[in-house]
Amino acid sequence: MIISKVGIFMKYDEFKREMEKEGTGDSMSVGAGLTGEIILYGSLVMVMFLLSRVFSEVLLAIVGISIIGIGISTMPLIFKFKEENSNQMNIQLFWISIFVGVLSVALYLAK
Amino acid sequence: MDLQLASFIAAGVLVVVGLYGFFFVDNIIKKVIALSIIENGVNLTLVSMGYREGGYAPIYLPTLKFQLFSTNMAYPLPQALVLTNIVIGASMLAIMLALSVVFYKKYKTLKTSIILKED
Amino acid sequence: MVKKMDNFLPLIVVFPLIMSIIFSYIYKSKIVRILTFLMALILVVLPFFGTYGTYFFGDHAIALGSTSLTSGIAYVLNPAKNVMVFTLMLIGSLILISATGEKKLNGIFTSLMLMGLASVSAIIMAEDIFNLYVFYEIATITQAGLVIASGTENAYKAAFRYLLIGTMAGSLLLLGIALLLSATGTLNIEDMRNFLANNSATPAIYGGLLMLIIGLGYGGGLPPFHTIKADMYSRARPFVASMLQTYSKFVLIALMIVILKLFGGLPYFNITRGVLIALSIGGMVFGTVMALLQNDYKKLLAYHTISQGGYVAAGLAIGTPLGIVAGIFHGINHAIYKSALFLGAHIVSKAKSSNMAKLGGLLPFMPFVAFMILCAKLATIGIPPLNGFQSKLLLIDAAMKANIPELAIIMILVSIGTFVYMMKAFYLIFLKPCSEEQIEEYKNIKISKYSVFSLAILTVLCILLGIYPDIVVDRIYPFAKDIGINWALNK
Repeated sequence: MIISKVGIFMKYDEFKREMEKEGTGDSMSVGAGLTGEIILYGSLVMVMFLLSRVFSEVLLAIVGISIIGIGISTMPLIFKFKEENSNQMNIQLFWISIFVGVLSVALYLAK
Repeated sequence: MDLQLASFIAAGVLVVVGLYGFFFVDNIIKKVIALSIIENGVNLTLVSMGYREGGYAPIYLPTLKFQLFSTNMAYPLPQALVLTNIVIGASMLAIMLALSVVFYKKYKTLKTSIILKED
Repeated sequence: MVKKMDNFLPLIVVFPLIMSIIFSYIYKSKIVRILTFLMALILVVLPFFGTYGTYFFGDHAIALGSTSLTSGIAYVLNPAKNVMVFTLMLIGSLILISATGEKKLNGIFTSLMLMGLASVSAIIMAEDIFNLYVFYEIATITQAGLVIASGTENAYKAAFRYLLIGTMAGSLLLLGIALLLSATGTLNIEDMRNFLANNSATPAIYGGLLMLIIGLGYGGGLPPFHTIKADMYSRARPFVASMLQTYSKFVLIALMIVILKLFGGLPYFNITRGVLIALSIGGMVFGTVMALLQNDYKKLLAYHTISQGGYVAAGLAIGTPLGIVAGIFHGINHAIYKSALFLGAHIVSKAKSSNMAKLGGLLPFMPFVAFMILCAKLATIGIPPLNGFQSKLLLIDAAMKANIPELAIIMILVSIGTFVYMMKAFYLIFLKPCSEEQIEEYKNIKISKYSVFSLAILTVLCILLGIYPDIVVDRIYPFAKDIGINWALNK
């Protein structure tokens, strides 16, 4: 959490510029966007905690922390996130196919 | 090869081909066709589940001996399910094709990446 | 075992279906408006026709030695399902009442609404997994039809997306049902549960579980299907969207209950439970983050629906009795306050548009409506004494009792996000200073009395359930105790 907050405040101007590009540069929307960024990272960190606790593997925790590190270095992530969540059919289908594949592998391993 | 196994394999191939077409072909009509292929694969799975070698159709006729019929009858439940599913599939197909026509009239193309792009 | 009861339970499904056929024939007639109002009144009393217990259609039982298998469709009604059906019908009735205040009401709309109500209540009550599938598909077609009914090009696109992916997900769900049928030899959920509990797993059963989860994701709007659902809610007219979200919330609950009932207590369900919790976390976080980025009020509400769906799924995915109670209760609460919010959006969008940047300063023109919208917003954030608070408290309690504090923390984080964007929306719509021209425009707004009436009833329900949650919780608890298992993450 602390890391992600530092990351956001360091790139605040960049963040605001990016929001203004989409015509939502008023303080309310920028605040909401920053909250979104914090929630995204906060929940990522929490999921990493949970996963490392469930599988009790140090390696997984290290991989998770490095993923978060890479994420922070490509700040702000939220705009890329928005792009991936757009309603373009091909992106939606791509994620659904990934989902079906991952789910099959997960349940296959569960045997 | 066992006929039932062959039929299951064919159904599996149909489903996989349909899924491939649905996810990766960039044409609305082809996507709809792929969906109907998936549906047919599922229907084939259901029908082949009820298959019995040398069995009778599950309709009791007075000329048949009851004992013979009851032991050699194909499993009727999946056939009823398939019948229902075909009706549902046909109605879905009709709506989707009608909407495709509307989109084609507007955009003069069938590419999904153009019609259903981000908005 | 197989006994036909003298009750009118099938009427809950059959009556709206028959009426929907009649409405589709008389859609141009002038009496549609009156008949719609009449239907709205009948729908509220409909759930009380059924008596509790199992209803078998036809008497086909196959006796195999000592076990007797049920063949044929069976419906089950118990207090928990009755509460769900009642909530569904009540919201449907209120939406129909506010639709009678619309200028362009035609019979097709009422027909689709009734068909949807019938199919979703059948999904809730069905004890037969194939019957569930049939009504799942009908619900898909109905929802697409309701979106198409709003008539804009974007709505057509959203409906087309929904249908394309719906056909895929529906076919896979049927494949799963076929696999389960081949593995267990029955379609009856109770019989299938007994079979699965007493036999070891085969690949067909894993395949069935996989396909059921895909169907669940689509039906309930969990990621990665959330963009399609959100698209659909935001393209439909707002008061239609309130019905659509109610449908998908109850489909989510019903399918989740089926999965829990079939596999809940089995040793190989653990990883699936993990997958379901992951999906629900995804739903919560993605929904909130996307909602925080929206400028359009309808889109904001659409993504908010996704995030609350994540809460419902999280409660049910935990799978303890407390978690199931919390999940179902939150689903019911969500259906109520979210319908209120969408109805509010319907009234607001009459003012000018749903783009929040163009609105502002509406408070003096509709103070009562604004107050009710604020109530619904506070309920969704989870402020006492409103219903959202009660169910969120139960959810967090369930997560803590199952020893998953991380999930509880994520729930609170997401609640904070909900607070931010809901207050943002309230400020931008009602409080932001606006120009003189806008005030002149606002003076011409005509607020439909029917919509305000529906909104008021929903707000009263929010407060009532917030003060007396036991009305619902006591009815759900025995059912949850039956299908839930007690466990805790011990690592």
